[in-house]
Amino acid sequence: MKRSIGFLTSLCFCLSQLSISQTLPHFSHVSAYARVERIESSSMMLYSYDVTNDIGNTGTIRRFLIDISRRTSSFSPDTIGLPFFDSFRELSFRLMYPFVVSKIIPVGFPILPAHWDASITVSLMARFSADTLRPEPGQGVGLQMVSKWPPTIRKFIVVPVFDVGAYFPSMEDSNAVPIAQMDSIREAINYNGWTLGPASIDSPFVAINFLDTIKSYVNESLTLNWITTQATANKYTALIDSAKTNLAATPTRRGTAKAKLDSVIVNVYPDSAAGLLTSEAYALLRFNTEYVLTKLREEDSELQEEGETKPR
Amino acid sequence: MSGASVRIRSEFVPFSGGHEHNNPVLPANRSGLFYKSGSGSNPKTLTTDSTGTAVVDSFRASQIAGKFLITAYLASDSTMKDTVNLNVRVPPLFDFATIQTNFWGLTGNTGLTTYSGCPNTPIRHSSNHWGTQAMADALQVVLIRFLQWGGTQDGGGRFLKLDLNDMSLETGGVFDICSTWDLDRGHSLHRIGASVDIDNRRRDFETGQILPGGLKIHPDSARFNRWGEQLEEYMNDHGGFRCPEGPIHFGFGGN
Repeated sequence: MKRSIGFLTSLCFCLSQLSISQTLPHFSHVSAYARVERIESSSMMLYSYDVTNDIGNTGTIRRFLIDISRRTSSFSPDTIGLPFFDSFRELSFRLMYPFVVSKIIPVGFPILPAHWDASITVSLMARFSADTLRPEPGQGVGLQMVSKWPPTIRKFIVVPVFDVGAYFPSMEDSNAVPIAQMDSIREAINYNGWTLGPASIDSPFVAINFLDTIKSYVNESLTLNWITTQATANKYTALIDSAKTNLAATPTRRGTAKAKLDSVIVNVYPDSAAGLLTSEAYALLRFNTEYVLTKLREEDSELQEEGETKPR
Repeated sequence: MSGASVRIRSEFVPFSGGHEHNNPVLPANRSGLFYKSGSGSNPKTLTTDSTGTAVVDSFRASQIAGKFLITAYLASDSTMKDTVNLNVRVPPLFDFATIQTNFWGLTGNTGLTTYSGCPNTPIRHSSNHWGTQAMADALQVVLIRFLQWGGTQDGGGRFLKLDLNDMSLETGGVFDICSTWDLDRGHSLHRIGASVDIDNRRRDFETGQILPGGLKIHPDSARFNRWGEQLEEYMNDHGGFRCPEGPIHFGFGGN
């Protein structure tokens, strides 16, 4: 459930210019399966990740990062009620948050495995890292974060244990390894892929535009093999297109539009059980469709209230 | 007067730019270079044109920041001259030493150097904690997070205080730790306010006592121990990355 973004070319280039006696860590494949659940008590989203260092890799996982950046045009999220593993992690989050307040979707870290830490970063990522018992090849770890926002497709980065002090000669006596070259290697040894993370949703909310976003999730899920057949993708595309058409027509057809979206939610359960949708595609379709339905119902209530209070 | 031979030279103003040393003096070839027709030198000899003017194509500033005196004079009579001041510097930096706190210590501004290239040399850069505002902001949070983490079970249960060694000089430029105007020995980085050195030791916040173990697996090793790695995590969160220069060096998006 990931797509490798290769840095092999730059890695080879850099290695050819260095005489490094030790072998650099290499991740040929890292699995990161995502599940999303709604926390009933708070209506927040719990994002769970099963990260596995494949047996064929030569590095140990030190960090797992997920993109949580947000567009400036999106809703300003708040941090009220976000759960944290302990008061220290919450303090750490609160110290970091002012640096990125307008640039990220805030996330909480409710549970951490032993020896794992989590934080937000100025590179606009959620960062999990271990100080001991790091996943060796063949081992994995389960990680969780919480957000108030539904899922979207996000980049993840897995960083291996890589102590620059052990790999590069001291620059004290000569500027032996240019910084740019060292940074390039540091980047090249990371593994990049795709997973789920909280979405950055544009403000003001426009339901028809959001339905286009859900359609794009269908297409991308097919590409990422999160939707396993073209027929399944076509079914969801047709339902969303129909909802969109009805929504764009007269207000009397809003009900039909909502019914089509309800059909999406009804279908994701059996399709997921049948293996036609992975946990990622299931979460994208279900929670984003639920989000747009909630918004449509809120709009309906507002319209109704306006009608009731209008003077005759 | 046309066809006259004119020389122009750049001289470092002693003790400027945070360099409290002038022996040896900064060599002319490191005090900036004047370029004309593709070749650079200091001083540069030019010939006036029909309007009596001599113009250089460009001037490459010294890698040493500070005040410079630019002098143009007649080759045949050096008393016929004019001068202009030139300040070579990076954009304004913030003095980290102005922050009054007990959450971290500042070192490297007095006493003798420990750098192996010139051990026990008197330190002659006493104002050594200048950085960009962005780095200063980030460092404060990193150090407070590290201090707090030390107090957790994972961190060993003692609030930890770190000592910050050299950053940059007030006007940036080469930080010649040996006070010999070396451009790439000692601190080859530390030029633009984006570098910070951390002493390889942890101190108990309450008592100030140095705790055994430091931040590395062994004092002679380049490898971090778990405290060093945790510090690295917090530095990374803020865009600070380790660089193998000096005992423990982090750079924030530059050098």
